[in-house]
Amino acid sequence: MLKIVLAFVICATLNAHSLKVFAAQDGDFVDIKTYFYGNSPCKECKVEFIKDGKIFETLKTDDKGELKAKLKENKFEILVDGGLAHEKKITFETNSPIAADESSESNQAYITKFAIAFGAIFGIFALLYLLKRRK
Amino acid sequence: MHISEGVLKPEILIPAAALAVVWVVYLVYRLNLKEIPKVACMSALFFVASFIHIPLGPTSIHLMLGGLIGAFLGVNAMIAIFVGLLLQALLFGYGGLSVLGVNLLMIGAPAVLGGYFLKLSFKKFRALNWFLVGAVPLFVSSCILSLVLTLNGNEFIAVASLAFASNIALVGIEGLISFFAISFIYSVNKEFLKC
Repeated sequence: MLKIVLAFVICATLNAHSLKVFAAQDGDFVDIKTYFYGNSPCKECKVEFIKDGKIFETLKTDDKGELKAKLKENKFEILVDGGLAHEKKITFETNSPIAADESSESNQAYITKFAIAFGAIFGIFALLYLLKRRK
Repeated sequence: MHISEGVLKPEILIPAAALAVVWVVYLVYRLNLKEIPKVACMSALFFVASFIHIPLGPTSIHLMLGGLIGAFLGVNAMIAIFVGLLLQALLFGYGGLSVLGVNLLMIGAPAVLGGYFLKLSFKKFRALNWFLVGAVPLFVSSCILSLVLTLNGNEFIAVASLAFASNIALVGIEGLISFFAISFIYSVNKEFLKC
């Protein structure tokens, strides 16, 4: 009987600190809700977004234990660190595929196009200069 | 300010393209060898200016600096603007190749007025004319843009009005830019303006 009571107390204690994590897609964002057993929010908890074992973004939950983050991958893992060795990892997959973040790529393309444009301006007028000089 | 591809009717596009080609070819033919570096620099200036966007309520407007280019190049501003527009169309999809003629006549032709106001500034009302160097060509360009869109069909009248209204603010901005730019050049190197 004592063993049963002891086991129940231990289980209850473990449950008291169990961390719950829920994630849902909202357009191009993911809404994350975190709380401990008993509905107390996981405030200012570190949230890591992991893809292929690599952390690609680290954020924190707010005072309500919630977080809204821009989706950057279609499938990844969400690891919430509640402190005191309370961690919860869930796998998240988008309902509809999101467009890949091309901002850095487009910036590079933009710079390249500008370089080509200035090169072309120089080339066009240099050619014109040479043709005129021949005459 | 650029009219996009697929908007205008062939009745507008073809004559504008023909006129623009003849005009540019003629100007290139009679272009002075010494003028070429200056035209190239102004072409680069026009190209860059078009990427400077100014937020205006729900929309944004971009600089043209056509008047300022016209002030320094006179009729050769057409060549500089042609090259700038061509590269914008090819690399960034601004406007397009089929509307290049219309866009060139709309932006390049009024730019020539910049030279006229600069010459006028040496005779009277210096500050006012320096402002008009930038303001008047853009105002004329806006009028041409609205006229072209209106000629394209009655359904474009609303767009034409909106385009004209949004460019009015830019008229003042470009006028101020030309005023300060010419004031600075005048104080640093007066001879540069007498071209």
